[in-house]
Amino acid sequence: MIHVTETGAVATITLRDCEPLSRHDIDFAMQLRDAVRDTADSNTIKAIVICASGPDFSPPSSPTDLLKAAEMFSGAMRHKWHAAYCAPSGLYQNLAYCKKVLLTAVQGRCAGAGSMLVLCSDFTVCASRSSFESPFATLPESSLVLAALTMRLNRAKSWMLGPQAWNSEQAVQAGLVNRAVDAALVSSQAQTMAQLAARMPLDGIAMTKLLAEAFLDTQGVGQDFDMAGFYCDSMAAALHARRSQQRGASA
Amino acid sequence: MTSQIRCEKNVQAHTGRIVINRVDMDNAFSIEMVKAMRDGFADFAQDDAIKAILICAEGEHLTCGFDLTQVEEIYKQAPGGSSKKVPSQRARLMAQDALWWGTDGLYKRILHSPKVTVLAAKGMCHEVGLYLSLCCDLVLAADTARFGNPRWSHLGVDGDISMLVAAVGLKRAKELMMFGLEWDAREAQTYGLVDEVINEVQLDAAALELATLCTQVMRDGIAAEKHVVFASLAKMQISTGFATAATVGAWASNIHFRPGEFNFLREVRNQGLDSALTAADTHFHP
Repeated sequence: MIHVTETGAVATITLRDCEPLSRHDIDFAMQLRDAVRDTADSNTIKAIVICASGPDFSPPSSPTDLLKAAEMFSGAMRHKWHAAYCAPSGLYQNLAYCKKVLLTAVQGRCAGAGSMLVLCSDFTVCASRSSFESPFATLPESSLVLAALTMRLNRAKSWMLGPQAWNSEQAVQAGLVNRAVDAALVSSQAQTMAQLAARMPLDGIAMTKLLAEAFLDTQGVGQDFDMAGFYCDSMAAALHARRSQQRGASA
Repeated sequence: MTSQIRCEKNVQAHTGRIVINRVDMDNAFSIEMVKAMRDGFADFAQDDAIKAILICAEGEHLTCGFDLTQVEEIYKQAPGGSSKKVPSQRARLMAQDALWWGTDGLYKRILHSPKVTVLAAKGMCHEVGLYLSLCCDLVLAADTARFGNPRWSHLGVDGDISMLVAAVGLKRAKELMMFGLEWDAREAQTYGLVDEVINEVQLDAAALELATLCTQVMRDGIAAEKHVVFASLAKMQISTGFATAATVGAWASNIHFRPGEFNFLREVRNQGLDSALTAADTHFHP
């Protein structure tokens, strides 16, 4: 499901799409975490690109799948979910605190966990027709602190609470995405940016990422992920309520 | 005080003016200039007649950054810096702290000035120029202004990033940090680094007018507002960012280059500054 290739100092991690992450497929989350962590540990790799082979980087999950995923927020699975996604050893902190330069290359729709991957990466390239859904409505592990640091608080709240996904132009304007290019050029643009970052000395990259890590820590990014356990109960209740509302409307 | 930093007071207008004047070197900051600007800010801070301070520059550029020929000199002047061929770690740390990031460092003096600070940015606003933009309260930029820190792509980031991220956001800040880019005045304004872009011919007059306008606020009002800013800076952990910058800046003087990586200082030593700059441009922007 996850394919890793290396070209010079740049590694590319290709997945079909990020949708399994949105419905809390823990095995998939662990595979991606391990792929990023092992690649970042390599002494020859300086930059990592995450991309999808499917038409959408992260299509939205169905309401049924989301509801099923929310079952994880209670009982014994709650600990596994937290460990896999939110904890310092989990997926998102491994991405946000990655030792190497991390890029996301987004094609098509980007919802749920895909949007979290965008927030956790250093740089994002997207297709000019891509759209970005806020992850906050469905994922308690979403980090508003990271979103506010990326886009500033007013825009983060607008994305979080607004009814519609952002198009690529809005995402670039807000600072969520660095470049929006023609769909055919997303991959090459991401590779170009990765190669550019890889021109820095390895010691310089390590120093820069350490500085960024210290900054994220002082701003409370780690704490925000730790808090996800407190958000998940209300998230599960909201998903159930929405489901009941939809059933009532269709009846 | 060096003549390359002129500190002027206009007590009647309640303004102080710091003029960077090393035009033949693109206003590169020497150690003496850093100290002179730092002392100028300390002096203005103590003068109750001064309400606003304007930083501007003679010539085409605000500054191309720190004088590269003095990079090693920074550490030699610090305690323990000249005792060995390689400066001690304490010399590196103390120099970073004293010149830039510590209580008496230039950037902290500007950021914590009790007066309103206004910057007139033009041409190259690199490295020191970028930090002047981040530390001043108000930034007017000529349409010729270009902001960046090319050294970061050579060495890695060796300064504070908390101010930059607060101003422009995380992902944009990282473009400046890792790609060696420079932003023109319009981009800088769009991203939030600059308040207003104006024609270069009108820059100095407009900046002085803005500083003068700020002096119309009563002294207690300025002090109160600035202290609210200081409280916010504390909450934003900017001092933590500065402390980290001093530490990482000291490490940066000790990085190792692997085969194929571009060692700028070695190029300067072996080929001279101009040749090194050309080689750097070829390496990072082929």
